[in-house]
Amino acid sequence: MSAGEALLRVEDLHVEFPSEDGIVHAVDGITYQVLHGKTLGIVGESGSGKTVASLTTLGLTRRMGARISGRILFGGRDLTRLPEDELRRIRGNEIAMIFQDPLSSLHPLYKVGDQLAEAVRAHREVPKAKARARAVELLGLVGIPDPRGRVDGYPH
Amino acid sequence: MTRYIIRRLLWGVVLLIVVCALTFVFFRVFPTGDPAVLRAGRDPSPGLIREIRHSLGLDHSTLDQFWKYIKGVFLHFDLGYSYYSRQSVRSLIFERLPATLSLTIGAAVLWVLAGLSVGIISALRRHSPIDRASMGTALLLISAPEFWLGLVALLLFSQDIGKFPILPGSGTYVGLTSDPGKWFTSLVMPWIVLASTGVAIYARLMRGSLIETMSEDYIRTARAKGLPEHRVVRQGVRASITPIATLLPLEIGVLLGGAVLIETVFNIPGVGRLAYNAIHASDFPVVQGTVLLAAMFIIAANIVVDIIYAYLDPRVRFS
Repeated sequence: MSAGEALLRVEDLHVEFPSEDGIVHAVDGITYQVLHGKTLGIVGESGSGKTVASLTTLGLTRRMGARISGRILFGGRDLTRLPEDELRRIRGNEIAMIFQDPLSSLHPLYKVGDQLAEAVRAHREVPKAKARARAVELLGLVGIPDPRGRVDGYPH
Repeated sequence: MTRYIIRRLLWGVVLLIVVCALTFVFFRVFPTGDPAVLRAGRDPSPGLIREIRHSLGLDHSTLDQFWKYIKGVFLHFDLGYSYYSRQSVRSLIFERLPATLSLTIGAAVLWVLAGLSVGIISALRRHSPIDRASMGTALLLISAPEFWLGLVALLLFSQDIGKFPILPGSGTYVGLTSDPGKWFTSLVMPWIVLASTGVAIYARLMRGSLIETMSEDYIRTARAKGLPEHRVVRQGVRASITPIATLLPLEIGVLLGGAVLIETVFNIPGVGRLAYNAIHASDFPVVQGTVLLAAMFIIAANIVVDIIYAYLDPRVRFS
């Protein structure tokens, strides 16, 4: 892939949710591209559709009953048309999403380390111990003190 | 954890004493019929009644009787003697316990397994025909009284009076040790009938709980990690089962209460029917023994579930 070529291209993306009070236009024709090695920030008021647009990129609004039009091009494929199983292999592997509130975004009954390790093991055939070591490493990388102790803690 | 368990056990004993006192008040202080008069037959002489009164220990004060009873229960596990058959209540209960345990444990297993799996399937296939059909059936089962369901089941499927005679009917119960095959077939209908309401309630609870859980942020996270859907569902089920597990001990009482009716309808020689007959005959010691036994089961189940809950949910364990 040459420099300057778009890694991710979103073209005229519309996301609508049919509801009892009529159709909710959550995302109304957004177009952007993310270049290789670049960071793109999307800014907006709450409720302006930033989250829905990002969730749609991962195909996570499908089961919420969203009606999606437009194209999301990633690695030569249109993610809006990709079957669920292929999307699943992209999620958390090639495109990842970091959610805001760790307390509600992490499962309260599983250890932090296990929740990190399972993301690693969902995409790569690695033994449990190695995935766990990677979880410790990741916690350390983001600057969390005592990563070795924290992997066995619960999110709360 | 050990201290927690010990504290719970001590409270259990206190509760049992309270239950003893309450049944004593209910059945002896508010008389439903003087047992001495009932035993004496037609036109008894006052002397005969006095004699029976003495032999049953009814001529002591209620407080004396209660004290003697409590001492017997906690020191020797002696539940007294039946006013009628003169047999010890303990042996009357133990003779009938296997039948009741067979009935209630089987029904409880069916209750939990069927209830939870129907609920999970319904939640995952929300608004599908299978969801609508099971929730409709559930509503029907919740509304129908168990003894009525039992009679309908007998009319439909029992081998003696049924329209489709495929299962042994009323009064066919055999012990597990004497014939496991017959034991099983004779209990199929009672199990299903006794579990029906519970299955229905639990299917609805589980469905609601899982639907709510599946919209949680951490389920979205699990999907965003690229976990296969069955693993996502497993995490959802794990989180939604915990609140339902806490409701289980309350159901032991419902189950034992239901067993009284089901044992009567299906003519199963269990503790429930013993209690039912004893209430009819004003046989207080037997009534009291069965109530105490039921209370013991309920208290024990509560303690067990609290411990399991503490194990399942780390938030309980550490607080």
